[in-house]
Amino acid sequence: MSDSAKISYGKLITNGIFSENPVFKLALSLCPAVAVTTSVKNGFLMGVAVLFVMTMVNITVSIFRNLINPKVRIPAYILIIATYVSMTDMFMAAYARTAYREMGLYIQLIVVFAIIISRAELFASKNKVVPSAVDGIGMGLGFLGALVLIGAIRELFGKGSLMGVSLVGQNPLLIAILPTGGFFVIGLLMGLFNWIEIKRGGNPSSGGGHH
Amino acid sequence: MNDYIKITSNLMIICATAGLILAATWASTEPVKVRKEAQELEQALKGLMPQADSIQAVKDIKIAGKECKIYEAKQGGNLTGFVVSSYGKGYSSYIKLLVAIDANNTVTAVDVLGHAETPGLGDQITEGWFKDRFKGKSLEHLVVVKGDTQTDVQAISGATISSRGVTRGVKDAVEALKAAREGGLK
Amino acid sequence: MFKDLGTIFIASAIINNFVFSRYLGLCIFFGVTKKMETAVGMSMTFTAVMVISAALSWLVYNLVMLPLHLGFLKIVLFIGIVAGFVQGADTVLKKLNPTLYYKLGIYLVLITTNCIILAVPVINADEKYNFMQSLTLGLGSGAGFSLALILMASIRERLELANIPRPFQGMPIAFIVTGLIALAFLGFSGLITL
Repeated sequence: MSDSAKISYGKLITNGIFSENPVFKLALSLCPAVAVTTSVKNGFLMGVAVLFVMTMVNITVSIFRNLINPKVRIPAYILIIATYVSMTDMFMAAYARTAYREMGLYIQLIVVFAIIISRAELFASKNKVVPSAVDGIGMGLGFLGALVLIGAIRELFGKGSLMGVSLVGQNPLLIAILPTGGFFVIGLLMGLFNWIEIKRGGNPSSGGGHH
Repeated sequence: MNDYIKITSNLMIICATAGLILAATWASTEPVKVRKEAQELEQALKGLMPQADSIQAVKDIKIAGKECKIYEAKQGGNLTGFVVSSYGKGYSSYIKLLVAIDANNTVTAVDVLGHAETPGLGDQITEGWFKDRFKGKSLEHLVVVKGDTQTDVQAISGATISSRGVTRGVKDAVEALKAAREGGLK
Repeated sequence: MFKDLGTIFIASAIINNFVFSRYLGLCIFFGVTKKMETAVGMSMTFTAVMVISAALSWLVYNLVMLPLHLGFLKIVLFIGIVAGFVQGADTVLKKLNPTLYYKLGIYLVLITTNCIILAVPVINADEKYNFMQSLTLGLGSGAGFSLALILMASIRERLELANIPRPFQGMPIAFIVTGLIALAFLGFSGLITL
């Protein structure tokens, strides 16, 4: 029993990272993906924040899934999400001040991420605590990975550095850290993911582009 | 009706719990945040006026429509100069500044506290070599010039508007200080 | 005062356009711009909801929360106001003007999870804008968003007929187009030296 449970946990995690990657495949919660990925560090911090919120929300919703009245579940989920986001916001303002100055607004916007509320509704409300937590972690890691990847590309091309360590000369391709570059990088990465999917014989999501 | 009460109270409980948790988090993080903000400001002020042993806020003023402050720097009880917080309208953001001014209303140093100028171009306003261009400048020389100049402020090539923004902010700071000193509310 | 408001309006509509410079509202942006019709519908609904939400949020934040030192609840509050208002508008619209509701109703629900809808009250609170400034930001962001939607929709309608490589069909090419428009909008920075 525990063996098959382990396997499905692993699957939950890879699901979040690959086949249902929130950013590249589901095209959900893109807003911050473009905004904060001007460097690896920022992308990483935002990813961690989302990972935290998603996992905690999934856990909380799962624990109380039988106590939350179905008729008010959406407002309830929103409240829970808003609470964790507010907590993250307060922590960052006190303990990660430099990062907070750059991304403070976007951290607060985690509240409207459709991915979080959709996971809560689709998964956490119907499953036990541990699977829900793992699902949250999986999706969160997918998000984190996507942000770090985009951040790395943009920082490398835009500033010639990675994590603040200068690798190439000055500002090789400045446009990469401007908004335009952000859109381009994500568009190209999405195209890449789709191409990989086609090669594997699957059908790429032509993305309805819901939030 | 009964149903109505059930779902409302259900939601109310969740609200109340959320509220309590947030209040608790607030209570524990806010003091830290406030303390750190004060520390950062103190460090910035000290950085501009290293020999001063006391830098006190003495007046609230408005620059570019925003709340700013005039600080008096003293050493051993004697007035050595002033620091004025200011804002200058840059290319794509309001640039937050601290301007150190001596008793003759001449700029001694400038610090850029915050901005959102263009990376690679406008963000060079935080570089030492640009900030140094304000040293020793008095009011008449706080003008931006595009070519080489020692008497006026030389613009960063490719970032004239950002340079102008900072200069404007510095100029406004000096003017505000002058006005306050003449007004005797010092 | 009007100069100040004018600055805020132009800044939020064009120079710091919420979609092209701040990357917000992408959520709905891509979903609704496949057809011009939906883009226009969303533009109107959004601007209306935006201005009213900005007003309501400002009122509650400044008249109730700050005096009671409840500022830290602002995220919960703002999202609550938007959700509540949208819900209310939904019900009212259904009763008052069924035709309008039939046309625009769907957009209302989508707006609730729009990044911009939360961003504006948060910016208003953080920048300590007064009432008029807050309304102007709301109006400006609505105008900017509408501009973005309509621009994008007109391009995408043409894109449908273009020959795009398979991996790029749909979202990827939309992103790249957005990047190009963002590049164009970059030209607006410094328009009024802010």
